[in-house]
Amino acid sequence: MKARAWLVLCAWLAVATFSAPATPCGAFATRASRTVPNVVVEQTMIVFDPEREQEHFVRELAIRDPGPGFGFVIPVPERPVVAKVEIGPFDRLARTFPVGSRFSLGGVAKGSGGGNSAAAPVSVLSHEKVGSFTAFVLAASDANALQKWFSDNQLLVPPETQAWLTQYVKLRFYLVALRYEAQEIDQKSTTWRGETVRISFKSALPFYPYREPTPPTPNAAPRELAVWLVSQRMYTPVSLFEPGTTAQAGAASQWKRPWLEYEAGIVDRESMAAALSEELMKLLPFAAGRGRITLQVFEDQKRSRAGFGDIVMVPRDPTALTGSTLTRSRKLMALLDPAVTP
Amino acid sequence: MSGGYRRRTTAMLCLVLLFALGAGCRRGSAPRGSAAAKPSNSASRAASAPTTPEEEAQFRGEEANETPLFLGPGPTGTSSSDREQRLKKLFSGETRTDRLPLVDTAPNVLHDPDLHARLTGVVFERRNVEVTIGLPRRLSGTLDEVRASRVTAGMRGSFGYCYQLALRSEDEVPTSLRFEIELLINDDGSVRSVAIPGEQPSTLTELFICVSMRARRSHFEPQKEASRVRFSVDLCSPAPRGMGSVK
Repeated sequence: MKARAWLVLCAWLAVATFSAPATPCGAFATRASRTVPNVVVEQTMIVFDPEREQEHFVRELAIRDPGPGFGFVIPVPERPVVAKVEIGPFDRLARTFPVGSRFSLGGVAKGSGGGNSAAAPVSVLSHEKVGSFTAFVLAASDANALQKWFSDNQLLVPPETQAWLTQYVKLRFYLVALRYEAQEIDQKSTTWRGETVRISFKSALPFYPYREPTPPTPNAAPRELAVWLVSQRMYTPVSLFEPGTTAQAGAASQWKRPWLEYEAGIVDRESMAAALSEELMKLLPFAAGRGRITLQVFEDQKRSRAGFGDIVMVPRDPTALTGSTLTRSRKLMALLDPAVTP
Repeated sequence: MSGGYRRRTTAMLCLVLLFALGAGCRRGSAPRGSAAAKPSNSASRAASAPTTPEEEAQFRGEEANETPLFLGPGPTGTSSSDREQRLKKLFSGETRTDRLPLVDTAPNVLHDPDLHARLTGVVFERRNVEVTIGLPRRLSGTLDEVRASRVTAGMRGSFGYCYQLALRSEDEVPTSLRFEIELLINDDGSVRSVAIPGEQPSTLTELFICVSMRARRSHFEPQKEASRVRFSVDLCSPAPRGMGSVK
């Protein structure tokens, strides 16, 4: 099924309201959203520390037809911290480790705690300004209450997004709601480029919020996702494809590799330092010590993600799984098998 | 034994044989997307019928490592312990995930190696660049220059992207630039090496690395012997025109 390239690795919430100049009391003037924007380019760097089970999800995106106001919701398995990245890494990453071409990496080695339910139906765990966004970190146990919360906070949830949200409430995921707060968008621009935002959270394996709500209007415009995964092990991104209403409806659900891998290998710290700012270098596993760093570069050119679920990056090589790791993996397992109870 | 009896017996045997062959064919064609493709640890089942992707591949006379692995959580009715087992194998790296089907483009659409450069160039850049690539001159070998020019012309987008990146990151990058590239092309059409002759200012190092990387991945038509070609590249950046449009 052709689907509109909605929003990102997360759902796209069209914000029915626009934060026109905020009044001193913090009220927002409202006006209807002109359009539902869609993504042109999404660039993400994931830094994953397998020992500490810590993921840093660093993303920059550009959208078409930004309209007068918008927001995003990004689901993550555990409570996140949201921060602005001062110097976006993607220009340098693309130059040093390009997407679309194979490059040489020294020593290439190819192939080689559960969240607490919020007591209240919706808990706002944090609320802060991140660049030109206001970021809310939410925990919700009731989908209806969550929708009401969005509505109360000038975020309109389109009907097709409701089912999408409900799944994450059921799985007890945390939600990062980003509401764009810029005073004005250049109306002459047909594209808008966002600031780079980092979302850090605990995860047993690298996680990518990939699933999108089924959009009402198909959009076949080109779209691009580039991902740089920095870790200490090699991983394969896996997504559960459920044909549902797609052209393959009726076929069995299958695990797929949703991204093309351009390169995978071991890089030295100097090469990474050439591509990353000091701020981001601090996020790398074993930032202060030696330890090997693996880098994988992926690309996704699908125009629609209809039928695809969120992505879990599973180890490429056999890795010991402890009982506690398994327990902490339940939410991720539920993404690849809906029958699993987190 | 009468002739009629022998004919009837022979006909029956043929029918039985045909049925058996037919059953075998069905088993062999079952794996794509079907439950039968799911791997099984049962030795007895594996002995009687091909149940793992590797066995299916062997059954079809294919290399197991090249066969896509059609796996999923399991059809309705799969026991919860089986499902858990599959997930555990997946999460512990025991499943050959590099053989899961790759779906990175829309159906029936080929991967576009320049899409990232093109879209990021249009969306993120405020400076337009113009790229002119000269006709390649063969210095040695048998490569057809006209055919080779089709490949070199296709490098415009990539080189433009490299230049745009350089313009953004280095203040001293000139707004117009000319250089030559020399490629050593293997007989299978792949590029063995890339050289940019002449003196290179240090401010352009990253640009030339980017250009070399992109040229390195190009692919020419196979030829009788390795060839060496050289062509010129002109880069120019007119005044900024504002945010590009992607429609």
